Amino acid sequence: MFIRLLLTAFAAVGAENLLFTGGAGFSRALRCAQRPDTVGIYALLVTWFTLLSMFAGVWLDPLLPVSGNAGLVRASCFAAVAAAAYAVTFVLLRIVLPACAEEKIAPLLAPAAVNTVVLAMPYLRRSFSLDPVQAAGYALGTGAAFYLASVVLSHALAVCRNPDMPQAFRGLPASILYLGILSMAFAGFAGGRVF
Amino acid sequence: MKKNRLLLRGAVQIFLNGMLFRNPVLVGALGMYPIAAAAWNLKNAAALSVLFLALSLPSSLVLCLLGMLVPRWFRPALVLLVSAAFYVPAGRLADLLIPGSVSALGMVAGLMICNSILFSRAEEYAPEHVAVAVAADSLGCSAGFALVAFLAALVRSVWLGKISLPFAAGFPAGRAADLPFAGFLLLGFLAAFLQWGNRLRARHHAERIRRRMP
Repeated sequence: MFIRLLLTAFAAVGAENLLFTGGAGFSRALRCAQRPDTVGIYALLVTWFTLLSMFAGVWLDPLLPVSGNAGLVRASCFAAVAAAAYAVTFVLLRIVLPACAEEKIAPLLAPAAVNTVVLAMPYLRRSFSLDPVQAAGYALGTGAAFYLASVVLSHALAVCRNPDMPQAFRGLPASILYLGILSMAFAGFAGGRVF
Repeated sequence: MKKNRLLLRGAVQIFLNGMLFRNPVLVGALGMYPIAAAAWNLKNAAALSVLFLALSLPSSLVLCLLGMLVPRWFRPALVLLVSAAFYVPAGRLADLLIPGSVSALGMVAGLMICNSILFSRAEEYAPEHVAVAVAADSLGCSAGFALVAFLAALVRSVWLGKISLPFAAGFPAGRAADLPFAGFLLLGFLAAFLQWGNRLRARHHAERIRRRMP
């Protein structure tokens, strides 16, 4: 069981990487990378919410319609569950954590809970036909992938502000191009498949 | 009368900022996923644009009304709940206007609920501004998102060889143009182009002010 979990986690970091191969979550990863001191906590929170979203998918998916107009309700239900997960986590953290820790974590909670990486989990569980153990592995792996992407981008952001670069490309445009090149490498690794 | 004109002028400026000068995708790096993953043909670009508009405008207006009535910490959950509620009619509208588009978009359509442009505008901007400004901002961001989606779709369709340019200009780059990395590379160049345009505009504006000075 542990081996299955581990293998799926590795797949989520490697060939089935939702961020680099699928292109999801970079708006958040870029923002996370701008504050390198909080990357670890941010990634931990993303991992927590991906796990919750994945298990919501495991439990809710059989109950929800898949195709046609009724299939639209599916996406709404997963989003409602994500909203509930955010609210419950916020209340729990307020009860458990001391005020100083809460001050540091609270601003990261909303962007970690509401993003495409988290909401994509139930869809990916379905398309990869993951069982609950593999689903947990994939969610953990995606959290690790988010952490790695943020760390890589935090170094890239500094390089992309290089004053020798043409002014038009300096900053964000260069960062997006950097992202595209990294994503191209992962696409080659994954064999050009899309999610 | 003068107040109304000022309000309208402000709304037009907010709209133009959202659409062009402070385009949320190219300047704010928000909402890049749907464009990178799905804007590789014009049908997808149209469906994404309709979905975005139909989610963004009502969600922002609802948050403009209710945003200040709920505690600050609950706003993100409220945004998600409101956009989840509007997703069903938005999806139906997109399917009505472009049949089969929502199922063609697959997971990307469902993930529009938590689009980062929509989230940031509805959560941060809408509760603290008046309805006219919120509507102008939402329409401007929708136009900006649609503009980038259509540009990306057009270029990628040419790369894929689905659209041929006059005089047989351009070349098909094969299947890779529909992968997310091609979208990111294209977005990088578009962002550079806009940054260049904004710098020119700022320089021109500064020169105009300098000339007016006695």
